[in-house]
Amino acid sequence: MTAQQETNIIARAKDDPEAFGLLFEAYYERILGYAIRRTGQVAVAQDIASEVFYRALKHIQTYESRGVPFCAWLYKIATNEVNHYFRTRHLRPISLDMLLDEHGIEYPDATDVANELMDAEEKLERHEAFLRLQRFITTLPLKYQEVLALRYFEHKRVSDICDIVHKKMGTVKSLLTRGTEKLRVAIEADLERNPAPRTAMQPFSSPSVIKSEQSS
Amino acid sequence: MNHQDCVRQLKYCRKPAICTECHRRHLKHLLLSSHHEALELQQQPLFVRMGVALRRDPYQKALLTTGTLAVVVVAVALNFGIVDSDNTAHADELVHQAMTTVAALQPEERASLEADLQADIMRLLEEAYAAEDLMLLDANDDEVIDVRTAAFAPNYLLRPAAINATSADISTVDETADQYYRFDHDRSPATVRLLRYTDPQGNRVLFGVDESNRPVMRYANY
Repeated sequence: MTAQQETNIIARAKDDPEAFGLLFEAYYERILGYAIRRTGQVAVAQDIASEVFYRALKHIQTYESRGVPFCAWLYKIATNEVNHYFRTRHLRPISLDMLLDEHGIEYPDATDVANELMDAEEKLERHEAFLRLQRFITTLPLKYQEVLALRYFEHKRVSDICDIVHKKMGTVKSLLTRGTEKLRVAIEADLERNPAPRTAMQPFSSPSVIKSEQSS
Repeated sequence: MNHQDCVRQLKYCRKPAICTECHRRHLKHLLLSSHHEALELQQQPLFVRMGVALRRDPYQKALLTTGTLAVVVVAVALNFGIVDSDNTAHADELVHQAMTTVAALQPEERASLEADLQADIMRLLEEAYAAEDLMLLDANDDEVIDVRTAAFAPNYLLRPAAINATSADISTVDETADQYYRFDHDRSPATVRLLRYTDPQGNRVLFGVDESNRPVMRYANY
């Protein structure tokens, strides 16, 4: 989808639900993936994705491009939602279940949805190295978490991150450098506590593993 | 591990790319349905839109509850706070007007009035004005209906037979307050405005001001 096409679709989406459907299809996977990579939990990420698109739909009539891509706007909402989740450890009330209740609809294939969630969680658990890294990142302050995730997990350019987190280029670069350094220190500290040999992709254990090892 | 190793791990670690198709399908269906509904709702009258918004939005529900509580609190405040302060303000104003009237009286008129009331009128009004509990009484207040009060307001509240009565005369009257009140119901007790305050000695003082703002009765320590 080109930028011009996207602009046209956004303009149509203000009055035409089908046009919003096109935007949803284009960005659902990216936003859900971002939420999964930030939280490390599929169920939580699904609720965050629901909230993001619900909010996007609610505010699309007042959306103005101002040179920032629609994708950045969605990432911005998602970042706020993830940060809200980390701050409060509570999700906002909008989730697929809540939307279903509100419209008096039941899952036509509830088993499929549950099975799909289990499958997704199993898939996620196979990414052990990533999950370890992600858990270390979640120990950092949110301002570092968001820029590190956007830069290294979502492969965003620094200028895009500036649009998403609404910070200046210098600030984002500084946050990236300091965040990486803090992460390195955390990993080093973990290695000192638990100096077992590791493969290249499994350089450290997760905080929970450390705890269980220490207690045993 | 150095900084570059850390960056490398962040960059090249295999990231999960998971898509939940059922969730995507349901969410899209629901969002688009709600968008359809929202667009249809825009054609509805305002009160219908408000009703639907209230039913759906938990924040608005909370806001409505808070708003209702606020209205109740304001209503209670109006009943117990502002109304009382209105009463006090009215009483202050009445006493102030009475002071102006008394100050303008001829010396003989004022002396006659003071003889009737057996009190220094200006001092009475100043005490009342300074009192914190000065208030205007309703004509149907028990204190106003009281027989003893009537003895000191002969021209306004008392039945014809007792117009010139003194407190001693009244104490011998064996009729009840209800009888007095019934007897005098044509006499429009509203023509005298009754005020009550506590004087510096701690006595409750009840006094009345007529339509021309002249103090016409006083009863203390009852």
